[in-house]
Amino acid sequence: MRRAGEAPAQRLRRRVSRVVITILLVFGAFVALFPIYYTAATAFKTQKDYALSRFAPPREPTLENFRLQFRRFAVARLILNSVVTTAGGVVLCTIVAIMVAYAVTKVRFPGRNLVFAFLVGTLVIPFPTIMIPVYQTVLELKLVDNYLGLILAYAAFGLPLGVYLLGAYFRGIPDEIMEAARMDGTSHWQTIWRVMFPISRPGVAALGIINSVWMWNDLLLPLLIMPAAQRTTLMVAVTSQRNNLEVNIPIISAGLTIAMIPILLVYLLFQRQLIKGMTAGAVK
Amino acid sequence: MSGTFGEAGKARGRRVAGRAALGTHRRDALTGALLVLPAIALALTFKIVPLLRGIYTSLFLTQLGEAAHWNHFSNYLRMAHDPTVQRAFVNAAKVVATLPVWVVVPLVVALLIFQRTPGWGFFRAVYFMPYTIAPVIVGQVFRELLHAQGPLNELLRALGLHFLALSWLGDKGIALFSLVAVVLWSYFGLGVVTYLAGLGTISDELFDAAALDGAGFFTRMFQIVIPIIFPVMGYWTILCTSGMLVWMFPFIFAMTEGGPGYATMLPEYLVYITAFRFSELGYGTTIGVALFVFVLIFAIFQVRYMYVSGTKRQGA
Repeated sequence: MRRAGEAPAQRLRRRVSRVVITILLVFGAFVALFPIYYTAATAFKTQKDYALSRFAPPREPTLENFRLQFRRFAVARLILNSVVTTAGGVVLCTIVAIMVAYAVTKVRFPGRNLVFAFLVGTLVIPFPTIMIPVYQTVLELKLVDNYLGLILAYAAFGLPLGVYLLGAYFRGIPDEIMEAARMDGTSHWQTIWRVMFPISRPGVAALGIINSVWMWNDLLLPLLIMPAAQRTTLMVAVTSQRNNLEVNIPIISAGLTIAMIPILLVYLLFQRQLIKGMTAGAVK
Repeated sequence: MSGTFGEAGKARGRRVAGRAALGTHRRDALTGALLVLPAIALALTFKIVPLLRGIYTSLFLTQLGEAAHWNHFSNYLRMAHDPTVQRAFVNAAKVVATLPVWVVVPLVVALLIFQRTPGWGFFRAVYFMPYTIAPVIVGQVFRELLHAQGPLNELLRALGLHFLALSWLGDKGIALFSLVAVVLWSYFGLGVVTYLAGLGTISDELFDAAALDGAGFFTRMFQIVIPIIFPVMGYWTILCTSGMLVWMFPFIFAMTEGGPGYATMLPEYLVYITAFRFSELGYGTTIGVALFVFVLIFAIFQVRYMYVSGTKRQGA
């Protein structure tokens, strides 16, 4: 970045603007991180410790709040439910979206633009509008309290974004690559999974991260489709602690911390793929 | 434009040469249909059929347990005279009016990170973190933080800013905007990442060349950066418009439950309590249909734009 022959005044201005930008970014990072810190710190405090100081780190960190939450909820079971439904939803949504993206960008068939517009367009149907009929439909399909019901619903609601993102990604891949594979006698199906899928892995990863975040965090769909205590997700259970009239803030915070840690870890682990995948595809 | 012509030319050429290969065309049509079939089935089952059923329910159901019969728009007439419904939609309009903030704030943050000052990778990672935390959790955390005797006001008082220590969620005049601010906190990271992805496509050479030409910061922003990421802004705007009213639900659920009074009552929350707390399925669904029309008015042009830019072939 540094250029030779820069006037001292210019260099000074560059340095000042750099300091100003950093100060702004640090402030923003504080705003972004403080609520997370606050919740996690509170979770390790005793009632008394919390009453004395809300901002300071816990003086004598205690695991008692977590122990209580684990005793109150079948946490392992809840996590299992969340993992199965989120993973199922992410995988199914990705597979279906890849097939559509390939069909509308690489196969010439009438109405492919219409199909694309239709699937992306379903984005504008607000969930509250169809909440009650979706429940009725799932009931009729006998999929209430069934993992499959929630997985199918997640996949359906992830489709508009998936089709849009991967469609843009596939459009950026030259047709020649796929035509060369087709010349060699590879079927469309094989071309999708052996040629297109490996090339578009960053895009698939970005979609996977965004989908797993909202599916893991979603409240309404599991509330409707998986109401049974044994089958419900971590997020529904976390919400219910409020209805149990729990007023002990450190205990509530422990519950919140348990629920936010898994997806935070997944994000930190795959954080690089997110930017890479979105840069190479979706937006140009 | 040239892309469109090239495309048409190519298609014509193929049509002339492709008489013999008519079989291939039919096979392509079949392949295409089979590949999009699962997606169409999902969209029909979970989106279109429920939407049609919702409209049907709004027209044919009044009371629960009653046999469905044509109800002479009674649900809609009731809605037109329901002050709670009017209040909810006025609030929704206020929320939509904050759209520019949703578009600009993440853009400014993304531009700051894009300057690549030391530690920019760290900030990029940090700014997305709020988005990964569940709205219900965020709602509960902020309900605590924004409490009249809560930590935020404690901090403000400690700084001598007593006049700013407001009842953030308890005051009818500001509760809705506190709610919007919390939702924005939760979602702005997604916007930042979206913008950064778009900014990543700008080549360094272009930027350096402009800097050498003596273009100042603002010239560079408005002449180079904004035009290039304009499609990204469009995409993000659509996502916000169609999303912001629906995203609010878990926050209302966890923070205000529509109060104080009806200050944070929004259509999506009203649908939920009407249908599930007061068991008025028909009326709840009717409010839902009205919400659909409301969102459609704002989103239709944007979706059309997304369709046009999405089906435009690149590099042709």
